[in-house]
Amino acid sequence: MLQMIRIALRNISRQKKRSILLGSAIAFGFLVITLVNGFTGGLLKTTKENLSHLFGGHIYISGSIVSPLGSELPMIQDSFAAEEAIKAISDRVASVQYRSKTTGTLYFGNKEQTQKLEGVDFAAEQSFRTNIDISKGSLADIDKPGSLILPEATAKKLGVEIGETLLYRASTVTGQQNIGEFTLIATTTSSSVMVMDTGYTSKAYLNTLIGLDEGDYQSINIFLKDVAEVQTVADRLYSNLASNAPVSPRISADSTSSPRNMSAMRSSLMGMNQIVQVAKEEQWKGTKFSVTTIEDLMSPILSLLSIIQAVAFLVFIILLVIIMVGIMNSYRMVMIERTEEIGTMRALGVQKSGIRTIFFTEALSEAVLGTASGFVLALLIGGILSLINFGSGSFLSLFLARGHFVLQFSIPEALKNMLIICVMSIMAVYLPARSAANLEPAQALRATY
Amino acid sequence: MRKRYALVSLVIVLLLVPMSGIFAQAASAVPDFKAMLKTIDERSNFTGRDFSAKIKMVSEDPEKGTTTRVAKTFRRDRDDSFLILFMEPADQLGQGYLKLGDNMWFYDPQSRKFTHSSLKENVQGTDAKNSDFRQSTYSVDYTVTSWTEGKLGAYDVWILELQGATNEVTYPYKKIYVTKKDQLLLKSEDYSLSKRLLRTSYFTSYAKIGTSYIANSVMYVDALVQGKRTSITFTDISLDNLPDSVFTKAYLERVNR
Repeated sequence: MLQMIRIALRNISRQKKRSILLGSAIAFGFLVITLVNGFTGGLLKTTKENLSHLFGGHIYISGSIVSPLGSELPMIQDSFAAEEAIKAISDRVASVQYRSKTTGTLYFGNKEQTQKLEGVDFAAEQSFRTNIDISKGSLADIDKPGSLILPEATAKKLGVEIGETLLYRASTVTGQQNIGEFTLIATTTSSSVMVMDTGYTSKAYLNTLIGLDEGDYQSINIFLKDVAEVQTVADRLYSNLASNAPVSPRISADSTSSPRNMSAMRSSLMGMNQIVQVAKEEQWKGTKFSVTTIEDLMSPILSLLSIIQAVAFLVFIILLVIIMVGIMNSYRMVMIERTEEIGTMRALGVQKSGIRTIFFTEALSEAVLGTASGFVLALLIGGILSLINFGSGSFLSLFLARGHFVLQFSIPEALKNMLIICVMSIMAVYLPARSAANLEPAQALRATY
Repeated sequence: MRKRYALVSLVIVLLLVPMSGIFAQAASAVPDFKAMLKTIDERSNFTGRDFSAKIKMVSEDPEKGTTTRVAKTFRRDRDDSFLILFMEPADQLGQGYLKLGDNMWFYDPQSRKFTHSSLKENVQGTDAKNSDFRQSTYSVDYTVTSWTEGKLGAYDVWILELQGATNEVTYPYKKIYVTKKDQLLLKSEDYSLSKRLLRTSYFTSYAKIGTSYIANSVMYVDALVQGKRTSITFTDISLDNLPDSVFTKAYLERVNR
């Protein structure tokens, strides 16, 4: 057996040009699928990180009440049910944040800019100071009322500098117009699409602007220890909540969600405090809770990535089929070229299986070497791509980590694709190998080509 | 002693009698402001009829320049419904706002989708709110907290300070200028909850249609961005009855086919 393998490896080196061409074709196919998988994997990872940073958690509990006038107001009035539901999943929770949020307009001089603001309890959220990426200014005055942290793109657009005062116009939770004065103390590196970048201020101060009491909040954001568990944990949380309080149907960003649900999601996550009238028969008592997850938000992106992966896999298979036809034809040629050699080997006592083993080993070796080269090339190209800085202000920035593409290569995925290539290579040489093995030694020795 | 007290009392009574007349006269000169708000509403509403007009909105923005929009508006006050259908500019052709009872939608013919909107939102980024196109509801939404007399241009006016009757009105505080003679609204200042001026509306011209008055020229001036304003003029005003089908989602979809 070892002898057969040695012969097979020698055969590869005998026909260098052909072996290199076949190996390159395999390497190219493997390179394409590995790069696409690495790209989509990286995209998924960075988008998830960017969105969880943007919305401040992996699971979001928001609430709404019905006002005496029948309007749905975005606020949590009684959090007992939510606290109990969180207690039940506490073994999975890394941290819990209580926030208020609104989307309004910033005014500086004659310039205006729409901006989402999150109210943070800086005393309770100590990790906020270490996690936030400050590009200018400092957090020294963060506890002063009216201190504001803005994405640098927003500050640049408004032309506002650190220490300057700006106005912020927002709606209260009941829909009344209000204006607050803020002082810019720091800017953050814009990490995602500008319209989705968040500004931060103290929760107590924001609450006075949006008509809530100092200690109130509009959403409970939960960071999990393991983000992979997000849907299972959210399902548990939702059923716990549903047993103690009214709940909205689970909201997702897919096309099947009703406009009302989408509106609720906008309201709860972007702080767009749009007031909607609730029909009498649909009204509820107390706080009605909604549960949304990072994956619900990402469902359009996940669908897009699945489509990209499916198309890439189809292209990979088509490429492989073309390569396999090439391999099959090459080995037919090999068989013809080596007929005399095969006849000699058979005459010297090599069994049919031995001839087959030589062919299979050759094909397998080329497949393994090709995929290995393809993988190394993919790593190289991926490495070069990830060095390019695409900046932070473009639409792409939602998918970038500090301006760079992240390619996440999955070893199990690469091994799976390698196995597919090996199996297809063996299938491609099966017929030539069988024909070679079935050659009559005497006839093969007489053959002249 | 008793005589002296009787004399003092007589003097006081004699002094108070003419003064009470003055007080009574002064009191009768102050109108019932609650009734005044009701009059303003009644004057500009069309309870028994439908209302339609062509509107031209010219928005000036120091950053974005001047934009002109042309739309048709249809109002049915008895159902608290209205429709605004945009005809210009070309990229907004067919877009519309529809209010039916408690619900309000924005229609985009490009995506052929209705999205929820509200009376509190601005119309297409202008300084006008959706609520500016519905029936007037001053008497329901506000109470008068103080008043003074004054002059606005050549007109003698009542200057009324209003406060929202509930915490769900868009502008919690308003100051309105109402003509003494006809009780027409000439100017309105809209304030935030923190009592900062947000917008001033000037009702520069009125058209009388039957017993109703419609402000056919209004200017909304943004108080936060200098030079940002929107002028709206109403033409082709009609009080003819409109078919019920106008106040439907299907109508917005149909006119875009």
